[in-house]
Amino acid sequence: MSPDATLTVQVPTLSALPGALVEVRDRELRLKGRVAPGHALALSAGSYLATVTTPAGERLIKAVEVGAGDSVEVSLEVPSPALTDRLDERVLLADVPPQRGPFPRRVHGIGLEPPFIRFLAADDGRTIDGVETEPGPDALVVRNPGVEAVVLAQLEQAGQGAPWNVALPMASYPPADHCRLQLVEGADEWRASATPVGGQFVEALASYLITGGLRQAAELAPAAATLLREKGENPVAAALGGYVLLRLGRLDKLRDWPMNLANWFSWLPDGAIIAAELSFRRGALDEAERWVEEALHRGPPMFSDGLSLLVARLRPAAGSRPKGAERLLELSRFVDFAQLALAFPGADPTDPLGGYV
Amino acid sequence: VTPWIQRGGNGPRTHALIVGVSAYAHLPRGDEPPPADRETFGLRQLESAAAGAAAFAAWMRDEYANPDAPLGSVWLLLSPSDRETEHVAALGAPQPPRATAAATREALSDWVQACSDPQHVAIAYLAGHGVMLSKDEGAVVLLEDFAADPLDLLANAFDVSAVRSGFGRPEMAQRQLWLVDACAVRPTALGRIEARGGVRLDGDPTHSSEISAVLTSAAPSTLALGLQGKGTLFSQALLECLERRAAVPTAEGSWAVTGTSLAAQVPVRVEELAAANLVDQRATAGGWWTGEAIHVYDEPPKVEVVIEADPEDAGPYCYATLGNGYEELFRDEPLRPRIIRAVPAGYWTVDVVVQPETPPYLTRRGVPCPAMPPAVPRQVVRMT
Repeated sequence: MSPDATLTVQVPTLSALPGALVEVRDRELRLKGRVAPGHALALSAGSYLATVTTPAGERLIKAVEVGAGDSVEVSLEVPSPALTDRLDERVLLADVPPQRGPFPRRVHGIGLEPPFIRFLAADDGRTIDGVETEPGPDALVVRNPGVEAVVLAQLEQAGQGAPWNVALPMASYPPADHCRLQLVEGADEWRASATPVGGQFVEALASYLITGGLRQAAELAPAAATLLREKGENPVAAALGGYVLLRLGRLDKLRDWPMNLANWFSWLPDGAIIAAELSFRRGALDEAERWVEEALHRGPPMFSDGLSLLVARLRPAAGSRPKGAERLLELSRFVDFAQLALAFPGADPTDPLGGYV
Repeated sequence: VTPWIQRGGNGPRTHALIVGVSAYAHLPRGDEPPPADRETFGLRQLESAAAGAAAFAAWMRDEYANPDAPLGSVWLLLSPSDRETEHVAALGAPQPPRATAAATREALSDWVQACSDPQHVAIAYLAGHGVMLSKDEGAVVLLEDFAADPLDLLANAFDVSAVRSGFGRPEMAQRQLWLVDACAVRPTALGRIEARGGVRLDGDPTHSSEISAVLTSAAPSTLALGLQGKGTLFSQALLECLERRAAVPTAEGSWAVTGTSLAAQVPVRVEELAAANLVDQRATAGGWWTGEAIHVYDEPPKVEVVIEADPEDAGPYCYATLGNGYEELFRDEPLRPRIIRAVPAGYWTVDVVVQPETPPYLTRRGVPCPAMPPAVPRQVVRMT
């Protein structure tokens, strides 16, 4: 039967997301098409299921009857489009007043004594002054004072264990000059997680990565490549897009943009790591090794994916590892790889083991 | 080491290596103090790792189906605790050898040989105490005779990172799944000792496989987590995902677990099970993933549907029939006040008939009831 009807599925909160796709299946669950929200799909009359997975990890399903010659439009409503829905129940931060005073800053939590927060450079541990924080609806918004470095937020609580460090996914200028920092109260210590902001695409990409939506991230992959081309606007988003494409083996989509990202943002280790990994996978070994050395020179990356990829290349090269490799290999033992941004305990972020041996 | 399973056939095959260690020769039992003559990182015996590995091995033997690469062979090595012995015995003959370094090294060598064809699929499952590495590397998993040599503590440990790196060579199976279920050694306990296991391959950092997916879970303490006989939280989550939760419809409408569906569902389920056990445990997905099928179902997986009337008071007058136009799963079953039933995943519709006629309640027909893993929302049929 030839298609003489159309189905348009609106997903209000995803409509502006390049690459998001709605899947339409017939009654026998045969795939009839994948289509962007708001775009019409030609179908024959029949019963269909429209599904989409949101960045927060929810799957929305709607059964639709399409009559011969009909143009049917339905809406898949997203109950809550928040970036970090899965984390919300763990977030206890509330009613945080603006904190713009001198170091240290204090925030208010529930239960545990509030931690102190200070800001350090990931590469050498120096204090970063001028970082501004303000309360958001579910997290602190942290603003970069114009520093070209991977900045760590370090949470410390008197009488508790080692401070907790989390890299802040932000750059020195808009729209990537701020990020969200969520404080999570554990059984006997504070933890933190950080997520990027600065546009629906980067937030969705980050969220799909947090919630394990690699397949959905794959749908965004072509737009991630565009982000790489537009990296001058948002290097944080470009780095995330690069990691997604690497994880899914979409090397063709990366082209040479990781090298440009690495060259143009010389403070960002992630660009060099993505360039190194891409070179390894293309078999360009000399180039890969150059980028590895460059990544090591720049210090710990912003994202845990970056550290994971880098140390996986460094570890087998025992005896011939470049300078700086041992530090990152040791750091990797402490990192919480379930988090998007690099996060680990340790009083001295340049030597997290230092306080123990 | 003789494979636990050896099946014939030509063409691409799946070859698995499964190692589970709960009993450690040089770790204290019960309330015994740690040995004074060697460093053991404060570790104690485990209770669930071998049972989890045994459950995964049984699933591979009984359920695993991949038309592109049917099961060829499985090497299984288990060091069960006393309480797990019955679960290992339940696997039947042949009983697996213990997971010592010597036996594991030999099995690794045989498995590597079996996997030396880029068309094959390689699956590795390692469970026990472990030194956690990055999410692209898994862990260094300690074998039964860990710490036998006080001067070379990790000589008897399986280095997942190095073995995976060795599998990057182009002649090796290019589709790989690495499953690592480790009760984590505290990172500070190791001091400056390099995390380098003695059971390893010579890795080549310059090579990469086409698909080499790594699912790793680090249990947060030395305590064994998991229900008696069901293995660890990770193994429970993994099996639930393979059996149902990670099932997705293919383009043709059949059902499969794909790499990306497994990567999405296992961490979620581990976190749910951990929360139910009041612990914080995560799983991570590293390496290279695709949407290619890992396991293909010969019939749709079962999912639980809940059908109820709105308002609930209508329930005593309502009788439900669930079908899809070709077959009926049940007919005229009373909704008092709800029906909870495991049904094959699919696109079903429900008819709810009011009998006898009882205004203001109205008979409803053809109410869509899509039953799709991992979870089906309650189907509330409005009767007014």
